[in-house]
Amino acid sequence: MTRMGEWGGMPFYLAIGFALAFLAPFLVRNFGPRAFALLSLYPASGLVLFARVREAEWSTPWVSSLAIDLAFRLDGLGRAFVLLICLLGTLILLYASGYFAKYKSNLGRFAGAFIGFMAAMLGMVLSDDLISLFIFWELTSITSFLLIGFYHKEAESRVSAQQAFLITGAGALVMLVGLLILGQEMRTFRVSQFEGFPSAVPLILILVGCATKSAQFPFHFWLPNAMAAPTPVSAFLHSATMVKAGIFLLARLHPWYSQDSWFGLVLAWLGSATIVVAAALVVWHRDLKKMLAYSTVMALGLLCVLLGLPGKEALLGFSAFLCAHALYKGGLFLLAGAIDHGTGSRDALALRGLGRQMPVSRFAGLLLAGSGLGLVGFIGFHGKEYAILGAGYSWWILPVIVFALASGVVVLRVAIWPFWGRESSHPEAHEAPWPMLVGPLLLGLVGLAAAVGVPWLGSEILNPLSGALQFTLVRYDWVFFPGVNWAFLLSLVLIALALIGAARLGPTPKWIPRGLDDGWRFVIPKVASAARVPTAWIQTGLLRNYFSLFFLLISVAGSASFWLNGGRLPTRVTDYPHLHELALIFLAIGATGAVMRTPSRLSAICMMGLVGTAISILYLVFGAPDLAVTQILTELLTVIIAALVFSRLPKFRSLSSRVDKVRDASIAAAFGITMGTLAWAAQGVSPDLASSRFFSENSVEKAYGRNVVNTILVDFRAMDTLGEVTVLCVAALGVYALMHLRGPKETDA
Amino acid sequence: MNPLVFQSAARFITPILLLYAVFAFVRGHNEPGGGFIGGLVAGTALSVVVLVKGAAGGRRMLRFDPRTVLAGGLVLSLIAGIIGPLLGNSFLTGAWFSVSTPLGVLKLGTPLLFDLGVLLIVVGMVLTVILVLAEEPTE
Repeated sequence: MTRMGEWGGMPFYLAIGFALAFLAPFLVRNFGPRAFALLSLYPASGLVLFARVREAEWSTPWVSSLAIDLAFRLDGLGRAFVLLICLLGTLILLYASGYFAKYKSNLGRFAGAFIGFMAAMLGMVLSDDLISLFIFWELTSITSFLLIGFYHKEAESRVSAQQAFLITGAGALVMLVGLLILGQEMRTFRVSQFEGFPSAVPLILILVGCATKSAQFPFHFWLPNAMAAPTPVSAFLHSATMVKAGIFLLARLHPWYSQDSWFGLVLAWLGSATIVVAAALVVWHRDLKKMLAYSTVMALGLLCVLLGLPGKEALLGFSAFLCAHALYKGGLFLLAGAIDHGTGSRDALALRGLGRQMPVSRFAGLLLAGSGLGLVGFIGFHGKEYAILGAGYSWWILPVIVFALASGVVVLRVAIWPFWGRESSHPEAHEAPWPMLVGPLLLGLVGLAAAVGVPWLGSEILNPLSGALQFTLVRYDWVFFPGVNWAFLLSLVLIALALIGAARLGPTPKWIPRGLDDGWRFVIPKVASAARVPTAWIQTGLLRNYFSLFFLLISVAGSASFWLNGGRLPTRVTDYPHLHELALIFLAIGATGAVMRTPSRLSAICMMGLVGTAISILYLVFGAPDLAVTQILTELLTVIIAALVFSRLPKFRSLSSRVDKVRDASIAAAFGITMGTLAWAAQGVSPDLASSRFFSENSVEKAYGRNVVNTILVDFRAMDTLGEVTVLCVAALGVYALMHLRGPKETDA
Repeated sequence: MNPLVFQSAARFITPILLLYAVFAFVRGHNEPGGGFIGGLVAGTALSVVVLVKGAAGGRRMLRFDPRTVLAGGLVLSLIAGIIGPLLGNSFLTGAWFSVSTPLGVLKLGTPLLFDLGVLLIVVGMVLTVILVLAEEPTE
């Protein structure tokens, strides 16, 4: 790999994105939905920024002990993704300012999650370090969860958000293992510094993660459900960017596995299966967004196939189709949203003849359909042409044909059919506001311009992108129309067949196959209810049960580990207790006995106080003044707390049956015997005083204090103390919450 | 106990206990004491106020919500910890500096700040619990 120029612009730009994600809610509060137009300046500036730089890198050590860097690297692949994300992000944010014009609640959170997603996605495609890539990857999953669940009052939204999150999250965990193994095998987490070639295990594990993220079979079913999200989310995350993350990572690793034909074969099979399954499912749907979702699944399958196939055409096809698909599919989603806005319907069968009422949309639809179908003159043509050429004269042409047919029907029914026909199906239909038209129109025009300027686009974006998929540079001359060949003729036939299919689209089926999705919806609640059984058994919510279990476990584990390891008790007595020590001990024992027998709560509390006091004096006698003071103070506070709650406690009664008493007594006895035995045994062991010595020697020297206990608390082991006081805070808040927030309140949050 | 006697006694007990808390806190570095013990003493002192004046009176006198004290203490401890990395050491490493005063050289360090945070957390915790219990309506 060649050295590249260092450029701090990348981390700077990402940091601004994440900062903006936190600022976005305030912007929305002040400016309302117009804030989205303001926020679109962020990706717009990225478009300008990254158009000027072709290659760059930047890194800083992050967790040096684990050799993890925060490393960014801009190359042909990353740059193509960055430019697509920024272009679509700009237009979709603008679109959102019109889409949400009338929607008020929760927009701030939405804007934050949306910008946060964008920054995470940019971070992911720019990452050179596998671990930082993984973190950005997970951030996109989390923000996607929040965005799918935007209409959180609807059960369907919640289920879909959870489903998407669980599937992509589980896949990511598998992938993390793969990434760690990959990092071990390649001797670094930095992709640009890989040595050698990976084995099968990490590749397969990573493939699982990519397949979940990019909705490949058998994980495809979350993507159509994710259409419960608002249209800007569907257009941005679930067609153009996030779902391509899996494809991105596979492309990123492509140079290291493309030599092994077996992994390419796995990819090709996986993609083909996805295309076939999605094509079989899409015919049942008549909802515009659902149809687009399934065609997105198919497109992702096609990208997967193209990555798996050998040969230069497949790589060129991958590059061209990746860009073309993001442009036209993002635009089609926005168009579907505009139709929904204008008519209130997304039913592909009901929508007809809207052209006169929505002339701009009709024009945008024409442009998008041109690219989607792969007509000459649009960038979609290049994607399709090279996809067909990449598959070549082999069986792999079959999934490409299936894709072209099914996807062609979807494109026609979304972008053409609603606008044509003599009579309008929705007389009250109206054109969407201009912010919602700029997106589809501009994306359609870009598709056109990209084809006209394809020689420039090729050398600027497509060739570097293809080059990043292998170890050698790609110098391919892209031309507007390479001439009539068999691929072109096949494409024409397929478009004609798609036209016939679109015209003959049948009525909405009464029954829609759900298969895996239904299985999921059946299994997940079962998992939750199954978990409830052991939870109810362990978590009784009764303090006495927790204590019993805790003491029992300590007794069993403590005794077992002592006796099984050849425990021996010292028999020689070297030291006899003094009289005052004995007196204290018997005082404590006597008071404990009294606690158990007393019929009054007041005397029980007093007796417990006596036990505590006796113990704290024992601490003092054995030279632990800090401990003694703390114990005394705790006893004092206990008295104050008892005084506060005393009058409100229920009547003091004996609740335990005889059996309970015997059981509790046995547990108590076991615990006492265990602790006693261990204390006894400790007398026979000459302790290792190394740490004691260390602390007393260094207390004054290093921590400037003579009180060793305190220097340990605030200096040597301050981290432990920090943890403990944090627990204190949580406990205090827990008490507060327990007393103040009782019972489920009906809140409208 | 006669509430009147208790009330009169509390007037003296509370300031003395608070003063003692400061004393215990400051001497903690060399003699028994420190943030934890100081916090417990101060918490006890203020709990006496709650006992005498009731929850509302106690709150009025405190001025701060004990949960704010809790959070403030945690933030203070974290700040004490972060000074280490800012000086190029690891998290929570102590940093010391001397201040000369008319009475002699005073050595101050981030462990003192950390301990102050611990003190505030303990005070905040004790008062959060005490006030919550004192405010609980009798049924």
